[in-house]
Amino acid sequence: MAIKDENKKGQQEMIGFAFVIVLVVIIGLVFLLLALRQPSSIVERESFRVNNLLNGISYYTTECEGKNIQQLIIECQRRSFICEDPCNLAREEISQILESSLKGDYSFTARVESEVEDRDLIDPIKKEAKGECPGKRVVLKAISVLPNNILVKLVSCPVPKTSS
Amino acid sequence: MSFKNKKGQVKMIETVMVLLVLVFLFGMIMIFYARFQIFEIDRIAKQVDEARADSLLNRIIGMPELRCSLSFGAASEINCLDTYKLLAFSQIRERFEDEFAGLSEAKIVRDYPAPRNQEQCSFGNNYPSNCGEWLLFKKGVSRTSFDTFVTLCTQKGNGFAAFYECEIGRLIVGVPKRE
Repeated sequence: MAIKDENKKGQQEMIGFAFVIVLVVIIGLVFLLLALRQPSSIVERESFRVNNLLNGISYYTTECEGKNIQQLIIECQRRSFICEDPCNLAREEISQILESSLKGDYSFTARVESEVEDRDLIDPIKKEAKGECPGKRVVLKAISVLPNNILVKLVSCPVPKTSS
Repeated sequence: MSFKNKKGQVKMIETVMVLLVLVFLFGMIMIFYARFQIFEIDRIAKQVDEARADSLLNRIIGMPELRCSLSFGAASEINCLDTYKLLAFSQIRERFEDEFAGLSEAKIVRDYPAPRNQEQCSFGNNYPSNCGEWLLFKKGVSRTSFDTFVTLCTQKGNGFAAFYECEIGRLIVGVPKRE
């Protein structure tokens, strides 16, 4: 009878010990997740940055009759022959701007999305061959809507900047 | 009797030793905690500095002394800065030092197209294409810096009509070093 009681007590203690270990592991994991999470202020800052860059690109004045990129994309959708090929001209300018401005991976698309028309206006510009930053923790998107249902999208995977 | 005394002495020494070890351990924990607190305070202070710089980044773009006016059309609704306002501001920047409290530096640089040189902008021929940056504020050394993109627009005229041209720049703010 005494041996049975001792066995029961031992089992209870073991369960208690296991419970404490599980609790400690869960708390440890929560702390680890909190520590690894990107602070929201950094994400907000980068998001603001990408939005501002997309605005800057839209209003950048090209050498094509003083038109900005936004106007070139609209001309491209109209299939006009202004400055020979507005689609190609816009693509070249945007590629150069993105290459000089963003350090991480990115992709840029300009599409017309409506019931009558659904197509890419310019060939998507991508720094990463696989597309929208696979496997990255922070993916920032800026979208701008132009007349005639034109959707301009910039996706950026910034290189994390650590402050000292 | 003497055996009992000896046993009592051993027990007392044992208690004193345990107390000493406890005091030592407690002291070690206190030192560790104090160091951790100092580190935490420093980290939080840096975070506060960075948050202030972040909010100033937005505020500077919205300053009416720098923003594009309505004459820039749709561009005035975005993060557009007037290059002539920037030039005027950089000439009298000492008057606006209070606006930049909490920063070590604030400047605008041309990003695209790349400027011909990185010189500070000043009145002269071919302005604004003859320079690379506008200094808005400078005080002390920076620990780190943040930036955001801005649209730099310049109003021009060809004798018949006024028009504007825009390029891409960056507003850079410096977070001061803590002593």
